[in-house]
Formats: sequence, C-alpha cells, structure tokens
Amino acid sequence: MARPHPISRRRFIQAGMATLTTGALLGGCAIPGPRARLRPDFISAVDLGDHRHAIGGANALGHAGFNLPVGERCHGGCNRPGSHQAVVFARRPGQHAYVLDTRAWRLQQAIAAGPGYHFYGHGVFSHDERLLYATLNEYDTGQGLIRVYDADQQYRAVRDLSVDGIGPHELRLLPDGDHLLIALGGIRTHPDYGRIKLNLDTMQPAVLMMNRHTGAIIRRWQPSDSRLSCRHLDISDDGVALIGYQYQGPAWNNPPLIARLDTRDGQFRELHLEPATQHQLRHYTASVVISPTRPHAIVASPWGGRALLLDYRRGQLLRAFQIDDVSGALAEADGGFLLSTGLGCLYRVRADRPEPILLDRQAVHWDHHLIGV
Amino acid sequence: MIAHPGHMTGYRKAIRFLGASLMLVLIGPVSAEPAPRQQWYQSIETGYRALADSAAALSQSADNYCDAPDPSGFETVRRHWRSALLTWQAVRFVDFGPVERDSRAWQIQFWPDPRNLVAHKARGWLKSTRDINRDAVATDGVAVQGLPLLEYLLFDDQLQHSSNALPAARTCALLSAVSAHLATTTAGIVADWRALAPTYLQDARYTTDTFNAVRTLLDTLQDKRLEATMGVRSGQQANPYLGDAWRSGQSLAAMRASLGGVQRYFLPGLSALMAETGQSDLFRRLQKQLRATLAAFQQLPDSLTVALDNESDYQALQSLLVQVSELRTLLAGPVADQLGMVRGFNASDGD
Repeated sequence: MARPHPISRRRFIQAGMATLTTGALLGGCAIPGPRARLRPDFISAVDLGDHRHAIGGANALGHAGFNLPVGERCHGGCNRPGSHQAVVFARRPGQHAYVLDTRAWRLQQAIAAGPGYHFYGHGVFSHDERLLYATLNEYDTGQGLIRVYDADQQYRAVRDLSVDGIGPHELRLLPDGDHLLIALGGIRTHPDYGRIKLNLDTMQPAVLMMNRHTGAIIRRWQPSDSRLSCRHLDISDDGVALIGYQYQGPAWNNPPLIARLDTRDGQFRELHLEPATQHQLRHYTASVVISPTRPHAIVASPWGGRALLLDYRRGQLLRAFQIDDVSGALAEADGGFLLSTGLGCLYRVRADRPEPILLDRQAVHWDHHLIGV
Repeated sequence: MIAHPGHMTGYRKAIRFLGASLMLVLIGPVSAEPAPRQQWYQSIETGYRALADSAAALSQSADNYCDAPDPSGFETVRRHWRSALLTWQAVRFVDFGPVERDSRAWQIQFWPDPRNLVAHKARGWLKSTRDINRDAVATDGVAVQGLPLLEYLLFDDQLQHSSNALPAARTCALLSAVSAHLATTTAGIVADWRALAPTYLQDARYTTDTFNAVRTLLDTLQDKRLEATMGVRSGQQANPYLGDAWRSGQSLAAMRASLGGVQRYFLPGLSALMAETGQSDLFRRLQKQLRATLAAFQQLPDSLTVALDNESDYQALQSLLVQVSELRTLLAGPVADQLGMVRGFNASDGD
C-alpha cells in the first residue's frame, strides 16, 4: 500500500504564505508564534540600518526575526544540499564567506579570502555536497578565479581554477553536475580603489562553461556589447540558462539585459523585450531565478523597480510587476516566486495573478539575493 | 437652414475655446516657468558648461606656465585649479548619467583617499623615466586623472620644497597631461549631458534620481566631509586629511561650493516641482534652511585644517554641522515624504 506523500517543505511554505496572505488582506502583518518553534526558510544578507550588517532569515510566515550580525556587508550565497549548512559571501571586495548552521541558527565558520584576494559574493556546491565553488578576485593581477573548498575538511581551499578573465560573479552547476556556468562581469576593481570600476573602456564580459574537475573552459559566449556586464544567472533542470546583464554604457542607450543560453546545443541569444519594458529596467538586473517546477523565471531590477516574470523556454515576457527596490528572488514549488526588497518588504508573485501580494514588511533592508535553506 | 445668430455666437465661442485648448495641449500650461525636469536639465547643463570651461582654462594656463614659467603664471595655474575645484563641487551632486560613464566622477575627484594613492602615484611618475603624456594618464587609473593629482603638484608642501617642485620638467609634463585629461573628461560630460536630454526629459524617474542625488550629497557632506573630519563620533579624532582638498586648504570652501551648487542648480527645479504639488510653503522652509547653512560658512576659513586647530572656528564648525543636519533632515523627511520620493537600498548601491 502506497504511503501518503509527506508534505514537502515547499508545500509547507506555500501553506504558510496562504495563511499570511489572508492576514495581509486583513490589514496587518503576520503575528509570529513562539520564537523557539520558528526557524528560517530562507536567508539573505540584510542591513539593519546605521551600517550594521547581518545575515537575516525569515520563515514561511514571512516573520523576519533571525539576524546574525556579521562584520561585512554580504551579497549572495548557497545552500549545501542535504544539510543544514549554508554559505553567505561578503560583497565585493569581501574578505569572508560565512558558514551557517541554519537549523541551530548560528555562525559556524568564517572562511577568509586570504591576502591578495576578495570574494565576489557568490558560490555553488557540487551535487555530492562536498565541494564549494566560489568566485574570487586576485586583485593585484585583476585575474578572476574559482576557488574550490572542501566542506568536509572545514572548508579547506583545495584548488584554484582560472577563468582567464576579470570579474567572475555568479555561477551555477549544470544539470550534468560536471560543468560550471559562470557569469564573467568583466569589470576590474581593486580594494585600494574601493568599489570604483577601473576598466569600463576595456571590459570583456562573457558567460563561461567550465569543467569543474579539470578547470578547462569548454566554451565562452559574449554579449552583443562589451559594456554589458554578465552578473547573475540561473539554470533550469533541463539545461536552459538565463543571464542578467548590467549595462555600463551611456545612459541614453537601451540594450537588452537578459540572455538565454541553451546549454544543450550552445544557442545563445539576447531577449529583446519591448523597448519601454527594457528601458524600465534601467540598465540593471539583480536576481535571476528559474522555477524548478514551471517554465517560469524571475529577473529582478531594483534600479527599475520591476520584477519580470518570463517564460524561459520561449524567452517571452509574461508579466512585469512594479515593486520598488525589488532584488531578491526565490522559486517556490507551486511555480510562484518569493521576492524581497531593500525597503524591507517580502512579496509573492505568480503568473496567474496580475499583482504582487505583500507578505510582510520589516524595518530592514533585504540585500540583493535570497537563499532557500 | 439658417443658423440663429445666438447659435452663431455660441459656435464661435466654442471654436475659440477649442482653439485655446488645442494650443494648451500643444504648448503645455501657460506659464513662464519651465517644467521641473526641464529646469533641472538646463541648470545642470549650465553647471557642466562652467566646469568644462574652468577645466579648459586650467589646462591652458598650465601649458602657458610650463612654456614660460614665472611666479605669476604659477599663481594663475593655482587660481584656475581652485576655480575648477569649486565649479566641480557645484555639480558634484549629480551622480547619474554622464559622470557614471567610465567612472568620470572618480576621474575628476578620486576621494576619499585613505591610502594616499594620489601622492604615491604622483611620486612614482616623477621618479620614473616613463614618457608622460595624455595617453599614459588616460590608462593609469582614476588616482592620477583629476583634481587631487593636480592639487598635489601645485600645493603639496613636501613637493614644493624638493627638486621636483614646479616647473621641474617631469612635474610640468604631468601637470600639463593631467590638466588636458581633465579638460577632455569635462568636455565629454557636457556632450553626454546633451545626448541624454531626450531620455532625461521623458523619463519621470529622473525626477527621483535628481532629488535623491542631493540627498546623497547631504549624507556625504554630513557623515564624511564634516563628522568624520571633525571626529565627532565616539572613538574618532579630528582628522583634516580626510577632507576633500586639504593640500590646498580648500576643504571647507569645497563644501560651501557643493551647497552653493544645490542652491543654484537644484533649487529652481525643486521650486517648480513643489509649486506643482502645492508645497510652496515647505519649499520656502527648505530654501531658508539652505540659506542659513550657507551663512554658517561666513564665520569659517576656507581651510578645514585651520578651522580644526582653533577653538572659535571649531565652534563655528559645530554650528555648521547643526545646520547641515537640519537641512538633510528637512529634505529627507518632510520634503521627500510630500513628494513621494523613495530611495531604494538595492537601487542605490548595486553589485
């Protein structure tokens, strides 16, 4: 006799969100239950105001009560599959990556980038949960690299893989588990110069496919304009990637900001949205997230105050949600997305609903990316 | 059918009304005042042209001086440098558009410089035998491309008492090349500002950008240019070397010029915007507070180093800080609220 399928964590989140939605419609924020029974369902870099940085979390009810103070502003991160660990990276030119126990909700370890290096803010685990791949800058040479850490050996750095370029940012593992897809921003920075972009006239951005075992760069795709910095990306289970650009050229131009790459046949094309929609993104994209259950994806633009819901298979725009300062995104099991904003709001959007649903608002700044845990 | 004369009159009136309405549609509201963004566009263009003109004058005077060095020529170059510094301060609040391209704002003023890269770079150039020319400056990074490097060459005490003091050949070559680069950079900003015109005027979000640019200027003015240099926070000490232009003794003059730029290039557009929304009283409060803030400079010298070293000047600095803080609170609070100006966290500082 078949046992009833246990309620999945995602479904639980979904149920919680439905409850919260009702609460929001009644005109109030969710009332959290006893703290001891709560734990975060996603985490994110968060700014608590007055230059206090933390890694924050919220649970399925949108209750954002989890903050672990850290010394640097963080950016993105990744969950270690099959574990209660997650790693959050300091933002460029960040010196540390923070390993968290998301069940006990405590910091376990701070991984130092080491002298001469800084993190770019992103990483990804191998399917076997053991190896962590992080993007770094060797800043005196300006050369970007992927550093491999062994999570089973307390995140000992075991290898550096050269990307043969400047500014690797977000990276993902291909469904085959053997290759990394890397967004190469092309922008050189150096801690002596803070966050100043030092080479905007000579940028060479690209999307790279790298064999994670050998470090060999299998293939490289270039955007249509050398000022289109490749920053964020996601890849579907069937091997289709979306890449988000940030444009560094003149303010009056209106270039495409999203590319679609089919890693199965190598077809790379940029999505030319209707000019007004493209213009609304204001040359900037943050989180790019593909749904694991629907052919849908979100591309968020805080500069434009827009979250675009796309059919990633066809490369078509389905909806454009207007949400101030929207940046973080997380796919949910029902095909919807959870979105976070720098103004402290959490929203839920779905393809079948024309308006975003406000779930919660806190006096914090959700910073750039959400990480499901 | 013969129209009734009374109808005829009504018909003419209607035609006349329609004609007037059509004119209104075509030319917009009958008003001598340009729309807020139009006003801002013109004001900023004026400021950018003044900047490019002052940078061109500086470049020319640097070349003249190096061709035939004499003390009066040296003073002319210094005067033109001060003028370029102050015209830049006046438009420094504009942190979007042409100044973002190729990190131009950083090229013009690499600041803050806690590691003293400007001096390090300048000394490197003066010591080496590499050719000094505009191309070399253009490819050597923001620390050598603008006003701080020129300030080092023209005002640094140590340099003035060394064998590299102007008009030494390599120092002159660097002065000339960097001045020329600055002139090119600022001329490029004027050209790009004109190219941006249709976008700036059509896209309403530039209203928010322009407003938030001034908020950011006031944040930096209070937190970094005043509080950090005065050492008002616990655990901090006064440090004039954190100021904008300590080598030339112009850090306070630069702050005054930044606020003067807000008064000259930002307030007219804001006045139009707030008049449109019936907020003229609130605008006058802001205008009055800005005047009071500028007046607080009257008790102060141009040099922050001098002011920090003198009891009565320090009290005047504290008064200035209070005025700046009130100005910032008024703009970021009631004015921003009434105008519905949102400043995003992620939208302000991306990655």
